[in-house]
Amino acid sequence: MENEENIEITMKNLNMNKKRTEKKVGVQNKKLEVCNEGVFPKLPVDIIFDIFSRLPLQTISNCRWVSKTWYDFILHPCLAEMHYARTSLPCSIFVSQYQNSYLIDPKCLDNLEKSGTAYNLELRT
Amino acid sequence: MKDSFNPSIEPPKKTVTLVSSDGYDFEVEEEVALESQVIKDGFEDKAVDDREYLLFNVHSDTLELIIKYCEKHVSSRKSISAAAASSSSSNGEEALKEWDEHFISVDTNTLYDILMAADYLNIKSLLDLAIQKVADTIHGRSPEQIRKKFNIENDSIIDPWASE
Repeated sequence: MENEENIEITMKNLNMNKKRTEKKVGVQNKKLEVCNEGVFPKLPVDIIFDIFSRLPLQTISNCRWVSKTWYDFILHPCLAEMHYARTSLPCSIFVSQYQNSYLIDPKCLDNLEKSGTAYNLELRT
Repeated sequence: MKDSFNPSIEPPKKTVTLVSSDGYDFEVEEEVALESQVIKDGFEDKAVDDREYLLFNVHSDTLELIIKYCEKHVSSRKSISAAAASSSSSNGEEALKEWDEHFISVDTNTLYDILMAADYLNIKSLLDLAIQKVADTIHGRSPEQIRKKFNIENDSIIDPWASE
């Protein structure tokens, strides 16, 4: 909270020092409008995948239920590939009978008898 | 007093003009502008007196922040390498990390603007910082909290764990 306030103050200071010379003709004088769906879907796809690929599998798995758009992003095979390429943790790959590969969070193998939930992501084969 | 022999007087720095989408001019030092890979790529081909860049996708409010970030990073790099050259201990990198952390602690819409601008201008370190910030924001939050934070509408996907 404090941080946000501080940044705001700095921005105000900058505004005062800013040298503004209005001379361009026909420029858009409008900031990008934020629509009701939030800003997230407007991000480029590679950035969205980059964001998700930095998160642990369990978090990504929870994120499926945020919205339809997020669900589609998370189950996209590209994300599994990026996540697999990035992750430094040991990670299991499960190949199903249909030759689909899934990433499995190693944590869920630790207590397999307690919980059967596998946080999996489909990996393109 | 012979001013011309004063070593503290530096030659005038070369500058570049950046023009925001809403038509404001920002005059910045060349090395600050060169933090952007996009500007760097075509830089040498441009005539010295024509170093003006129209940034159609970057609003002046965001451009100010971006310039602030680049200036800080250019000056920090200098002081870090100066400290390394004189082999004096410095916590420059730590301090810069802290500064980054503080810099990126902004509201979601500002974060989005910074992300888009860093992507457009191809400033890798800033893009990385902003993406990590979004990832950190998502981490540890429930779907409902994420929806609230990013202003996302709940569109009928049923969360099987919601009732638990």
